[in-house]
Amino acid sequence: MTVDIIRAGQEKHFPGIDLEDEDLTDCQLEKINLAGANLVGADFSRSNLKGARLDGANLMQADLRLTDLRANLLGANLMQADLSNADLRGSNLRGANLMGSKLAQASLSGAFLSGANLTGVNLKGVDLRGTDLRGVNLNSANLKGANLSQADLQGANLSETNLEEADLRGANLAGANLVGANLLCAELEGSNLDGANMERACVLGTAIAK
Amino acid sequence: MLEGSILQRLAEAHRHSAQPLNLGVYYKNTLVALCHALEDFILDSHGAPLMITAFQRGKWYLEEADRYRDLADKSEQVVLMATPDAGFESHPTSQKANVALVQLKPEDPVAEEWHLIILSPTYTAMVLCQELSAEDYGNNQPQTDLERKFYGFWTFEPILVKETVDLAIAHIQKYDLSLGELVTQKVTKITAESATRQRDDLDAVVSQVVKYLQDSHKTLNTPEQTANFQGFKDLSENIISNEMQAFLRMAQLLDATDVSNPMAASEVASMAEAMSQLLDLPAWQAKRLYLSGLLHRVGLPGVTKKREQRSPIPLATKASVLRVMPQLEAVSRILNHQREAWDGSGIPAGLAYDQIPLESRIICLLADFQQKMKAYKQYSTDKNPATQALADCQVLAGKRYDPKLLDALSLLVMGMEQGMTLSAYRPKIATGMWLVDSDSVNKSKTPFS
Repeated sequence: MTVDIIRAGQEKHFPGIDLEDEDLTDCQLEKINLAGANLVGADFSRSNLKGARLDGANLMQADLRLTDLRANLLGANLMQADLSNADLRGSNLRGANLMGSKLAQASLSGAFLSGANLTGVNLKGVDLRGTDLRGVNLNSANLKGANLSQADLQGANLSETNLEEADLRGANLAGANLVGANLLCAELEGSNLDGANMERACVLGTAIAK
Repeated sequence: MLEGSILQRLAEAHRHSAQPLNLGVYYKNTLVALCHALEDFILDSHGAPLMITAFQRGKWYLEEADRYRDLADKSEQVVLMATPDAGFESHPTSQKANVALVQLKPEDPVAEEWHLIILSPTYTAMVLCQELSAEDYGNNQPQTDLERKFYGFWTFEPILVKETVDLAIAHIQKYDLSLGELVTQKVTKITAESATRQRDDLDAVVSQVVKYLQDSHKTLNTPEQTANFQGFKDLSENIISNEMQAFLRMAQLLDATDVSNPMAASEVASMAEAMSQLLDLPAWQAKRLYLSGLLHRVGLPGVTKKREQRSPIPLATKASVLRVMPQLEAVSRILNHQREAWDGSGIPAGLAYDQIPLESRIICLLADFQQKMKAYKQYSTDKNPATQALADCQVLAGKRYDPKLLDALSLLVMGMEQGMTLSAYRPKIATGMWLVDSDSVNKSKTPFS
């Protein structure tokens, strides 16, 4: 069976494969090619997918808890996937759809998230230092206490986003949409706010350097 | 921020300074626990303080008035500011000779503030906050007292406390010139005395703060308190975040008192982060290592080798102050072994080789390396300080340091020479939360690698 071959870890080339709802927990899948695969509802928890190709894969509702996902997830569908405690450091998540996904305690530092859809996602306290978030959609997301220092948020959609106590020092927010955002006690020292729309945003106790 | 309030004036003064205020959000329960801890420490402190407090309403003071009597007995001078409510003046505490009342006008912005300012020769602490206005709450108007939110900050830093006292005096003088003069005299006296006195044990204040917050958290878990309260999780995290902040503020104060090396915590943390990348450590371990770097001076083991040898009976190692917070158990263990040596000659347990937790070995090497690099930067200009510090450490490879880690450190130094910069941002203290792993209690049970 294909799943057994994959589990064995010898063969690495499976683009476009159908693995819907399969159990692939605790597997060594380093550098596997699963580009464009159907992985809906698959269970990869605690598996190692470092360096894997998952671009264009459908990972909807997949279980990715504690998974090493330092992989290529370009344009992947991760809607409602469980990414709690997943390792996404330096991952390519450009254009990925993460709506409704769980990202509690996931590591995202250095990830590439430009153009990704993170609408309504809970990213409380997440570490996104220096991350590429150009044009990301974080509408209504919860980024309370998140570390976004030096992040590139050019043209990002941060409308109604909770950025309470967030660290945005040195972040690039040029052209960002911050309408109705909560910036209570956020730190914006040294950030670039050229052309950012801050209508109705709460800036109480916010440190903004001019 | 309310125009003319003390918080606003202090924030304004620090707007473009090297020391921005680092404001945070607090719930009422968090503030009550914080204030009680900082106030009650006056009873254990070795100095008699000047205590200035502002209550939003006189009735809040009346709830505290009996406690304040004991505090006044230990204090040089107490100044209470509030808009008067019934009983404000007549309470026995208000009648005491060293207790002065300032009856704020209702339109005074200070009447909207919550202050606690403690200045003594041996101890300084303060809380400065304002409540969100109805407009600021927006769609999230508080339904219960528990949901009330404040913004501002708290600190142990003597310079900031002194600055705030001066602002408070200026405000008091608008109401009562002679009281302003009296308080100024007290400040002069306390400042003069502080130069010759040893400060109170910071460990004791910090553990008191953490314990009070934990107690407040425990009472929160009763059903009658939490029924119908949506924001319970937020409040609960706010309390834990402030426990964490107590340690980060302690680290900050330790760094500030070390004039020759004031960035030790953030530099060691940044290097630890780079090291975890070089060693390809898993994310949770990298995070734990970063936090250990930030707190490495707080969690030092209490006994030095020399003292151990001099003593005829083995000295009990002083338990690290970090132990009071269960979420920091793993970090506390890492830091307790940061003075172990690779060959087993270190303290406190004399562990050797792989018996020493990996993170402890890394912190040991990086803390020494950072210290040496700083010293070379200051006193020798002819050679690269990083290269010199590395050479010093290499001599002790296999004796004090894990030889494998020196290979990684040389790579790091090479990277630094080629222009790699370590992020020297001090972490935003008001948000200790991103550093606390909610699962760390479970993780600490897994064996060290």
